[in-house]
Amino acid sequence: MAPQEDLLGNVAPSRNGEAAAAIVAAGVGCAVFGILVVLVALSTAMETLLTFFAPVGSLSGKAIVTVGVWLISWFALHRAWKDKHLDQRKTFTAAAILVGLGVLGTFPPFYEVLHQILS
Amino acid sequence: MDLTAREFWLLFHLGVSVVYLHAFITVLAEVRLGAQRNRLLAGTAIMALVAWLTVISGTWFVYPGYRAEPPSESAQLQDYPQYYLEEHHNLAYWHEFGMEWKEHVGWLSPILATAVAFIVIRYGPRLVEAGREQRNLRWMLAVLFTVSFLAAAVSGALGAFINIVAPNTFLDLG
Repeated sequence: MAPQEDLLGNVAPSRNGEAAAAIVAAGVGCAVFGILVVLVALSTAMETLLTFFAPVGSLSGKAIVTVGVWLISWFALHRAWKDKHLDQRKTFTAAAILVGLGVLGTFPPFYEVLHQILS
Repeated sequence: MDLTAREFWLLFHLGVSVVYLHAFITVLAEVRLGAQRNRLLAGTAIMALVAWLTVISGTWFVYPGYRAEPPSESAQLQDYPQYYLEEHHNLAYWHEFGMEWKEHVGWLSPILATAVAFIVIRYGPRLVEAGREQRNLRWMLAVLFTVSFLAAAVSGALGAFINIVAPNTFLDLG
């Protein structure tokens, strides 16, 4: 984050790629979880597929898949962006939309209405 | 007094969620009062860790007792909270909305808290430097931090209400 000088003494903005990767990956994790919640609410096949541990039901699969996707996306974004300086506004907006999707997906009235519309 | 395994895990789940709340308030106060770096680092790291412990213990050790299926039609429904709530139409909402939202929204909290903790630890003192970029990043961290807390607060509050509405005799089953 501290300004860095190049060989000519020009001050360049420091890199924020690692922070952007962590924030966007967290958004991806939230969005994936929200989408899985909606898919399970709409499809009994998805519910069966995501029931990794019967006593916990499909929540086990939703949680494990989400954590897996979140960590993989974080790793990939971190590698891709760690030496870059990204537009904060774009990364923050993307993360906010993804987190919003995640929150919306977990809200029962949302997927109940969706279920009624689709059925 | 002997604790059943279910009682132990519920107490563990409640205990770590109280630590989570405390860590959130501590970090908020540190930020508000002028952050002491080590306490801020410790606060965010502890918050992320206990958020994980809270959702893992809740999902894998407490939730199975809540959603357990009665072995027979003659079984006492009081021992099976999900079925008890669904059986009583005036209480079914506590499962269909309350527990459904609680079990899901809580999982967003540790993911967001981990991102905040990582950035605070990785960027350290550079975060509190003056500058538009730093100010924007601090603002974004505050938003993520607050959403993480609100997700946990909604989950915790719904859990507390469900504990009041549904009988807790399932905890005695061990």
